[in-house]
Amino acid sequence: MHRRDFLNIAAMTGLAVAAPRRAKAAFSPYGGPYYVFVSARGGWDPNYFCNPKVKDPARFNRLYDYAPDTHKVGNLPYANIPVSGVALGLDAMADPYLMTAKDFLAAHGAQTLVLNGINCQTNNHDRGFKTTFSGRGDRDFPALAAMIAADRAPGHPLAFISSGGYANSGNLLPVTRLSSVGAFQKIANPNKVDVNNPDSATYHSPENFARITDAQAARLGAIEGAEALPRIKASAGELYLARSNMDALSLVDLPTTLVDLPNNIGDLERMMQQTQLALAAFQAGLAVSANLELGGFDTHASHDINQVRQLAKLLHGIHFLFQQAEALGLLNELIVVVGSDFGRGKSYNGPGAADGKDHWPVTSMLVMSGDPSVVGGDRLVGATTDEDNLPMTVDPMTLETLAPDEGTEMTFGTVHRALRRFAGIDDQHPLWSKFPLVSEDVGIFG
Amino acid sequence: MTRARLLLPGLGLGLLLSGCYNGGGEDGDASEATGMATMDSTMGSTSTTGTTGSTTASSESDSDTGTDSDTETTGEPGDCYSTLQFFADNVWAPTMSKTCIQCHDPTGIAAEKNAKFLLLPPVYPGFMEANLENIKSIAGYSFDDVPLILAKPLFLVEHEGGKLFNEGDDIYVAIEELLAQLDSPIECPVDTSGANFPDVELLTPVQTLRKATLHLAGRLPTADEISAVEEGGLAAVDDALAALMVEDAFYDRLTEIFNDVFLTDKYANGSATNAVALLNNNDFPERNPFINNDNMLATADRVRINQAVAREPLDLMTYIVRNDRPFTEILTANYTVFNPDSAFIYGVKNIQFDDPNNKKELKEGVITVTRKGAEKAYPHAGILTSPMWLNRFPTTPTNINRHRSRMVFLKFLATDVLALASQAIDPDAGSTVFNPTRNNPDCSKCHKLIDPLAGAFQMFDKNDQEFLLDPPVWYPEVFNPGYLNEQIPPDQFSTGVQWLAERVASDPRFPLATVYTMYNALTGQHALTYPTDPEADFYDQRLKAWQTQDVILRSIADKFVADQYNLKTAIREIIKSPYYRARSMPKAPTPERAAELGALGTGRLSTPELLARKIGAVTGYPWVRSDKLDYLTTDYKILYGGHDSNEITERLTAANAVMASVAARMANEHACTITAFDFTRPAEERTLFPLVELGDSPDSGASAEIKANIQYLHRQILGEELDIDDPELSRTFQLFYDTYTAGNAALADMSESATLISQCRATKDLKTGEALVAEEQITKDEAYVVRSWMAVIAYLLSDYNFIYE
Repeated sequence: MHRRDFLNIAAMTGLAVAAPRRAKAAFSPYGGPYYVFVSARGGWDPNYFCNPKVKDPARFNRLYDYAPDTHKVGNLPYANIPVSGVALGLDAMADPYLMTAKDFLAAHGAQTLVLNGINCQTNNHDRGFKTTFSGRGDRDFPALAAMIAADRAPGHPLAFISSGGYANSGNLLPVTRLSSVGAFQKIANPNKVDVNNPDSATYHSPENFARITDAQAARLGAIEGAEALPRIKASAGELYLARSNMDALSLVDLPTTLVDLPNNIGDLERMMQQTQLALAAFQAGLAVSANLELGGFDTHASHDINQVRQLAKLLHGIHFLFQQAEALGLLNELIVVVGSDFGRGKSYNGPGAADGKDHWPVTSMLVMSGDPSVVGGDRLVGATTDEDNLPMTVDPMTLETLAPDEGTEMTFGTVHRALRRFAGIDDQHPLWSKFPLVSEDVGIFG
Repeated sequence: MTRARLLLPGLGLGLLLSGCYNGGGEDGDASEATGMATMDSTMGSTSTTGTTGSTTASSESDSDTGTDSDTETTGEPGDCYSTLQFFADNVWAPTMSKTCIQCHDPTGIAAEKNAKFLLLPPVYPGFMEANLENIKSIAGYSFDDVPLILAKPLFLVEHEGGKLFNEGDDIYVAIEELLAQLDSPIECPVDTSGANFPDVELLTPVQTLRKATLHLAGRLPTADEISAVEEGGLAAVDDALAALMVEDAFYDRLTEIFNDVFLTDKYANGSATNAVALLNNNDFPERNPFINNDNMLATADRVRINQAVAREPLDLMTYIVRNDRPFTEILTANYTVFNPDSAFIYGVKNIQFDDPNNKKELKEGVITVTRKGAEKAYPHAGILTSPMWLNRFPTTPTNINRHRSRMVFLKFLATDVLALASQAIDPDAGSTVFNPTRNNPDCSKCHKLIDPLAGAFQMFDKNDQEFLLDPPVWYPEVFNPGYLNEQIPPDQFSTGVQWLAERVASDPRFPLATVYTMYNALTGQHALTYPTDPEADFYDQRLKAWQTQDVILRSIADKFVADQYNLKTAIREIIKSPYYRARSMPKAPTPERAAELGALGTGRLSTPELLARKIGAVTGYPWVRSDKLDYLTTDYKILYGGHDSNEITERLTAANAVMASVAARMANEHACTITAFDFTRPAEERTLFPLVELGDSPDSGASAEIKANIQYLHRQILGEELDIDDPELSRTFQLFYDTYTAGNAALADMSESATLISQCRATKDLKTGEALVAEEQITKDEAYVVRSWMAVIAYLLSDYNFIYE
């Protein structure tokens, strides 16, 4: 199905074209780039990984020593915090699944663009979440992940996968969730009795199954054609679209088993499993974008343990994503955007170890690509002040860091204008004007 | 300045506005500190005439509604144009919503200076009525015989917003007219039956009964129920609904609905310990032995007991409904309910169960803990004090119950307080302000609403969520505990949550919030929100749609209140409304009219739970795994758009390819399982094939019987009443015929076997699991009739009219 046809149908949420006898459309596998949006839900603390500050218990860092000239990999600074399962309230079994910022940058710094000092303009979880992943908090705009999927391959059956994260599709296309391997295999082959047996019997003969499918499509077309009530027309169209290319699900080659981690890091296990499923969908050419999520970052209490632990899991999870993408031959087409609700701080909410950091509207974002040249890795754009952790500004052309009042402050409006262009949704694109971002331009990607 | 008259004291939501958000100023001089932003020069361009409205009382600006009568596709306006509608169309929409509210909203500059003219933004349910009530309450103020509400924007008196319009402008005329109407406001009767949508056909009473019975009770209506409704029409649906709303299945559905809101099943979900583990062992000494399984309980027993603890808040809610108590008791009950399992874990005394082995038996009781050597009762306030609710919406020492406060506003008052923070935060602005949540206006705007309510939960520990503090702890730097601008007396701090519950329950937003919740559950859609972007496509039509729905849902809320907050009344009225019953339109609407009708009608994608029950109801047999659990509530729950109350908390409401594939799998598997088996039963006991036998085929001259059975299946499975010559029956018959013909050819050339695959054979009773006697078994399909009917059943089970409601 042509993209614009799909958009027309989706926009009207009803069939704008006559339903063919069988609800099928020409299908061509989507070959990339593949976009993954990772949400660190709850509000992360960039000071504890990509925006380190000098140790000062009265300010933003009471945990680690920081020497700007020493603690960096390439051009990217890091918070030098060691991690171990035992110290972080887990156990030694968890150690293989925790990663320091240093190790993360050593592995992926060349593939990473760090944006520091973004003014999220809110301390509100929902609004921050929405702002970070759509570019605007005062509107219910779709996730950038959904916009990209709608632009690239809206009719593909798994175009936008979200089992967590900001999933607003803006009615551009359906949201899809994936879960267990076994259940997915069964629905990918809905007429096959035993999906693990290539020679399995079928419930209906292939001819009968095709006959049933034909009759369904004809019936659905008749319903859609006869009905004028908008909701029915829309939902009939929705089902029509859902059935388009449904057969393609069988192309997804799922891993035989999903990762199985110790029980005390079940949240990371889920993120890694979702990674496996999303990559399989990418590999089959059925998906364009996917959301991944790891929670637990809202560390009002016990920040030095809880925030560090979740960051260590998050970084391992992203590392796993890159490893798996490489193993599947998808690495060069992989683009990853990592963000959170907002930042934390600006200082601690109490002197005790059990105290934490509250919400802070200044935050960071990572944009990564398997091929370092795509995002221009090993780059740092933006900063916060050392005194108050307030946003510095940048020169919109050179990206040089400037004092707070001298250049352009980066907001998520700024960032998303750049991200949209980076993803091919420029200011001539209908989605750009349909979901306008009122912000200044900064040439983050040149 | 004189205070010439004071008309119509603020009532209802007007109290919310004028009594609670005006800063409590008692001074009759309203001249100080009202400010308005610069007037939008385009004001007055929007017309939002409601479907009950005519143009008789409105200004000339109400012409462009997009309801071109030439198309013969739009609703006819009624005869009544209410004062409220007039206000909405001619005063609120063009001007007050755009300019006045910038200073006069509850957190605006004017409010901070105790202005009496205050406007609630659309984030507050019932804002339109509240705003009109506020205007009523100040309509008596005047300056030199000019009403103050005109004198200010004319700048005849001091007005920080300056001069906003001139005498004779459209808005001036509209406000004058409004003030005149306020002497004797026009009120219009509300019709919830569908008269507002004359171009839309509704489900018949019998069709409504079928849809509601499947939804609420997971079964088809009985013949007697259908007869009664055929005879008594829509009025008889009331009786049928009343009868089914006492069935256990109805309370199972209510439990699902409530869990969609409160998500406390996070702690159930088949876990043996998750709920119990949340409790403090010092308070509940049965906790540790249970967690450690000292008593060597079987896993199934532990899961059951854990679920009893997890379900306590949901059980309380269903208990209140089951016993026809006012639904306000979900907040105000000074008790909770226990079954024998949860009573055991909580160590509740003084409860006598009629049957301790009946795990469905619920008894009222009170949680007690020991403090300072004495027994202390929980300050029960419905679900607000449920240990599960407190854990599901937890707090921390710095969050200090603000999250709970937000949840109370959101879940019980339909108010998203976070949406009040419409302006961006400047991180630098608060950095030099001491105690910014109270002293920095950017922060205090929301915190002065959120923090007092948070203080009502101060008797609970900030780390151990359900641990009862004695004494309670609050913080002098935070706003005083209270609700809106009423403070909790300090001597009631230890029971402040009960104090709060009474006020929330009596807030006019509570019944609306309840109606919104049930509306969402029954229709699969959220209540419409007030459209705030005049530049958006079809703004006028979306506004009209909101106004129409708002009137109807508010009238339902009124009936709910009038019937002693009986939840069943709200359910019944929503079911009878066009939002639940709209079925079709004889003529295609214009795009404008379509935009008005978007929220209307059938076409809701069934949830996994609803679809699972529907399968069982219409086919006679559920689609289950070998352990008898429904596939759709286990293996396919997430894939089919359900949630797990934990990581995934939102349902998908639009079908995708995965969901369509789940439906296809279901249809194929289930058709295989049930088709042959149904033929093993005597015809009068069959669910699917009462009018045919296996020997009936097109070749045996039984086409008429086959068509009759197909007609029956369309009614049984899809709820369609079709004439025997209907094209849809012909299509289904053709599928049967083509399958039969091709199948027999395949049998003849031996490309297919006469033996059914094992999964499709009828060898055991699907209900009892017992083997059928040999002569009853069906393992072969030598005439290809079983497989032809399988095709028909699969076709119907995956049909749009089956998977959508």
